[in-house]
Amino acid sequence: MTASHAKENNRSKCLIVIPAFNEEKNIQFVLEGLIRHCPELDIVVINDGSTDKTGEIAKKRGIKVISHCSNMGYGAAVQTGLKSGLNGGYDFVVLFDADGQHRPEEIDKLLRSVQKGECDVAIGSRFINNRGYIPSIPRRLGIRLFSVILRALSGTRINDVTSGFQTLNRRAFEFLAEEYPTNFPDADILLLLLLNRFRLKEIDVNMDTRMYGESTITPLMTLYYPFRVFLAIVVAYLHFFIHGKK
Amino acid sequence: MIVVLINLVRKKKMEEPFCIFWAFVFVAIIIFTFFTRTYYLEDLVSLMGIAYSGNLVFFFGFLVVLTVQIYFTVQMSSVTRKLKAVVQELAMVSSKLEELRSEPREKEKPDSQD
Repeated sequence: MTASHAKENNRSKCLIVIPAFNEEKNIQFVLEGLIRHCPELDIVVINDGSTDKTGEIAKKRGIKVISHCSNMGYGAAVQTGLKSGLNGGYDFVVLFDADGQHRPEEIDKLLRSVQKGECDVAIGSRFINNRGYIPSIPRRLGIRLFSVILRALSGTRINDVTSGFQTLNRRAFEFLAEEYPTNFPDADILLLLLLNRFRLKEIDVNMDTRMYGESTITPLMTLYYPFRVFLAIVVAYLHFFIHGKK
Repeated sequence: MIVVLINLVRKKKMEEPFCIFWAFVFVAIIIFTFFTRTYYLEDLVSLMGIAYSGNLVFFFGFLVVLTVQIYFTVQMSSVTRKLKAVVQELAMVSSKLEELRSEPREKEKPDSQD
């Protein structure tokens, strides 16, 4: 069953959200792949204050573009996409990166799992079978550390806590559209979802390396990143511990 | 300094609550300056085990500056949150407006072909 079949059968609306910042060299390829593999799904590019032609390229392909007037960060762009999905009355939202790391043909696996009701959030994971692109050792160590912390606090094992390739049902994206961190939304978001009794499921996917350009995460940010995520995890847990369910 | 503050508010370079806040800080400094000339400070210094009374003044000054910094960080975070919400809302409204603007043109197209 393809994404299009799923849509026809269930009459459900699905939106692919692509947060993008200065991705003019990758966006064309990414959009072409999505149009080819998921022609029935709606796509929105959240142009997060790009200074290049990211927005224009997407518009030329006939894709809906929502442009931030200034760069607000990855989390803010994702949140705008979730809000847009909410306003558009969508039943499912797929979060898809603009750098060419995610494969459009894998969307169907994630979407099918959520549509069948197996979970509220399906996470595309690189580490179930360790296929395709695998990050550097320091990054993998960080991911492993946060995976262990997440398991200790929630009792659920998530291997790829930094995966941005996710599919959410309406209940989940309604929940996240309200409050979403601006920088590096990773393990803290997963913890928030788990503590609020959302069902998460990892699905084995292949990922590629970024096609062109450099990641917005600079070496200085890489040093700051673990502290930020750790703080966010502590805050999310304390908030739940003190106030209970959101 | 009070005159400078009032002038900043007059020129709309500073909001009133911040002016009042800084006015309180300056008044507190003036009161503290008089306080240092009394024997109470010497008593306080010896009670806290500090060698020189000047050190205590600097210590309190440092605490005030630190508190002000935290206060402004909280203010800045609040403004950032509000700014994010405004940018997101503006982006969605602009996109909707663009859609509405292009809709009549799309509707007109089949008519013109007929």
